[in-house]
Amino acid sequence: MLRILRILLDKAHEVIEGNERLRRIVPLINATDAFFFGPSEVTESAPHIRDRMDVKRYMTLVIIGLMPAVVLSLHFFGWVALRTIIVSYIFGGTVEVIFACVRREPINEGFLVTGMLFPLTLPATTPWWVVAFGIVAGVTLGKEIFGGTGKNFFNPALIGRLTIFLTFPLLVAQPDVWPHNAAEQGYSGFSTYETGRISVDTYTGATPLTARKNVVRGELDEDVLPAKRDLFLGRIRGSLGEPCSLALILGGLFIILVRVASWRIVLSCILTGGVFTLIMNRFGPIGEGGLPVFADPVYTLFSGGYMLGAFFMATDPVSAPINKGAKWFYGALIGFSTVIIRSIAGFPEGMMFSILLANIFSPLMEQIATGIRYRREAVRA
Amino acid sequence: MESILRPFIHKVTGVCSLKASPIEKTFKGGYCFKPFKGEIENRVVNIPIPKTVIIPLRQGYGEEVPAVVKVGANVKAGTVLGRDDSSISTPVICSVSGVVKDIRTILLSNGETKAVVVESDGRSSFEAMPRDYTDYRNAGADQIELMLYEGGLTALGEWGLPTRYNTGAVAPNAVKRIIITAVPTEPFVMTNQVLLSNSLRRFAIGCEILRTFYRPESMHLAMSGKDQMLVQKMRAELTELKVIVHEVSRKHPQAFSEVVTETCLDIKVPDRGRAIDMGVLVIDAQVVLHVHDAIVEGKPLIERIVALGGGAYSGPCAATVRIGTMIKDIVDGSIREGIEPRIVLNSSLTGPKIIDHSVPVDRTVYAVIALEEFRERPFMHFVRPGADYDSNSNSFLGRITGLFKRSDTNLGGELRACISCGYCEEVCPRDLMPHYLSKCINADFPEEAETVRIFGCIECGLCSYVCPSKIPLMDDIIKGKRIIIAEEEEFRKRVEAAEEERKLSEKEESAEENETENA
Repeated sequence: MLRILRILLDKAHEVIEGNERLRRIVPLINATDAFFFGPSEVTESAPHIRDRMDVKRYMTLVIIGLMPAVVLSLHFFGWVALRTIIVSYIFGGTVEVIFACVRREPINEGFLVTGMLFPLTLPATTPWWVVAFGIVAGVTLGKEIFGGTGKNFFNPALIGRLTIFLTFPLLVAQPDVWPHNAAEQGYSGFSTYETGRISVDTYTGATPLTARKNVVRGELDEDVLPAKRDLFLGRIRGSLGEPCSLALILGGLFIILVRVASWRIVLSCILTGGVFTLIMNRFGPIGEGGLPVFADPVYTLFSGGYMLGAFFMATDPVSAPINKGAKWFYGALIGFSTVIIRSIAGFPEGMMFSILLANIFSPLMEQIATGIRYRREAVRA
Repeated sequence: MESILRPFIHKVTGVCSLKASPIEKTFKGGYCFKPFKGEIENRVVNIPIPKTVIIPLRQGYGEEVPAVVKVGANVKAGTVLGRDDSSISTPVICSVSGVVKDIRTILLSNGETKAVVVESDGRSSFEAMPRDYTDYRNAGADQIELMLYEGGLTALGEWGLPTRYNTGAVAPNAVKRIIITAVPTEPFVMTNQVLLSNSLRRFAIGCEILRTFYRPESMHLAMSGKDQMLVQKMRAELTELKVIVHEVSRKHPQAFSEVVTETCLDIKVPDRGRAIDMGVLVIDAQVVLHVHDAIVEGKPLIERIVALGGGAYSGPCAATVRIGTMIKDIVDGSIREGIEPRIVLNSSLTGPKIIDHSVPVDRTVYAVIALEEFRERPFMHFVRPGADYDSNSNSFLGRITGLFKRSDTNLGGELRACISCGYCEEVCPRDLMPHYLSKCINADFPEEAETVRIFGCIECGLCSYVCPSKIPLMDDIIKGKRIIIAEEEEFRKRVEAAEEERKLSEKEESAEENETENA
């Protein structure tokens, strides 16, 4: 089996490299080859032995960390989730390949994560062409125009989501996708969307964050808010990756354990968000509906994209700072501004804006941290 | 509770030693290698005296010395082959008895040098150095100094052993503290068990002799705390001599002079600085044994114990090797069947690759490492659990299994752009930012690289080792240092030239003035 694959790949190499026109797509065949078979390169200079960790594994581990959330989203939303993911991979992958071929550079594995994260930020009702548009925009504007993975300032998945958010606001801003009274209907996974007959009833209702915003304004009664246990275990409405905080936390802990994600960013993000919202919940303003404008910590942390953002988006190494001190500030900025946006600004959700905002500040933080570090050194020396 | 949590904490944080004793001293950064396949076994073999040895005339610290023997001369093990008392150098000693066949130029990993080719007669005896004492305790400092010099020992150590004979980087009385390192941190190097467990007495006497000669303020032994039995024995042996035994971590690069000085003495070696300039002489434990042999037995430096480690050996072990033995005489026959070996001298992280196996080992060699060139392509390598892979991240099962780790030269991935994972910064023992330094150098900003302490780099190779993007960070940094030094050199020359010109014109002016005055 392996031998047949090897022969096929060798044949493909031969054909492509022998053909003047096809030579452009050499990166594609190289990437395919490298996907199946590990590298044959040996070290050229010291150190002669190397750590076996590589970017492929690095990115694969993030995907593995996302798996609980992906499986649950398949369970909750059925095939529509799978469709969204596949569309995202196909279109995003094509863009990545085109850019790699034009630049004559190897195809970078960073896309694997983007292609998985992006659909998880979308409501299940997003039409496939919107998904395709979003991922193409995300990969192009968020990453490739800067020079590819490693040189981007922003999280490409979030740039994609932002693009959709701005171009098709109605489709994304109100992700009322989780069937409103599914629990009572005995809803289980692959049923509603499969049949294609979605009753109007199942469409109504809002995400916990939108609902809460309405309650605060006094437009809705408090009983529309989901129970806290449901927030945690995932019986809430939201984007594909959002419903179950528990799955995200498990996956997130996994990538922290394998040291792919920075625990500093996650901890600082969660702590800041939690503590800040707790203080403001106790002592902050009360809305017209009799509810504090700021939600309590549990509601803040386990609703919307907070966990997805904190564990998987904020920890994207490329757009986050490297310096340890800067990482604390970076996480804190995300937590703080998310709470602010959610409660005070017009938008129900603020994770995307916060992370992109922090992305903007990340190089600055890095620079300040470096400055402090070396000025201090200079004084000591 | 803590004992339950500890392995967990260890896995997450990568903190090195589980049973870290509270007295273990350590430093920030660094990396603890798991045992690899091919770590040396606890035995010492004798490499038979080769038919031909090639003895380079530049070995260790110091300059090349001119040969003092002629082709055709009969030499013994211990005969001085080359010597120059005027330059910073140490005599080169013949390591076998036989006939000088040739004196020719050879290419070593650190450049060209003249070398004496000696055909040996196979006898293992050596010519003992003359001594005018019977007990080493009666030997005076002058006598010790001369014997260390003539025995060829003073070229050992990073900056040589300072003596009156111009052998080290500083004067002998500048040595205020001595640190002896017995910290095997790298893969495949000599273990303390092999080197010291049967030579505690010799080691102690060696320390005593060094103390008599240098009269340092304090002497320190930095030892890994892995083998507690040995540490206890060593303590018992050395307390009388007032040698302070420090238990230090097993993290690489603990044995580097800059690091060990800071760990043991809390003296910070500045960037571009050397430990020796701070009055700290850092030497390897084996040097102390050589000192003992030279002074007590009159044995010049003709052979060393060398670690023959690495996955390509069929039976990795330590070996007694005559200096000047060719690499092929050492490794041939002990490499596993059917693999392509890569020979690396001294260190798998920083050492040079030996392509021509007919080059000799010199007196500074401590390991001849043979790694397997691994070009096979494992299927779907990035999702393999990897129970026998060592890694800085916890992404391989190898972090928790006790298996010996694979040790081959495979790159393990493809070259990619930096993804800012921060691993290099984490392991850097000098608290640098290797990723940033590399970017500065590749973008041609040497000034910026200098601001962020490029000269703080001690070239331990850890950043390149851990990089998941497989960027040759250490190579970039070394390249950057060279560029900066070359620029400085050029600047200095230009300043000198300008100065010269100014002086010249001044002279002319004054001459003119004189002329006008005379007129």
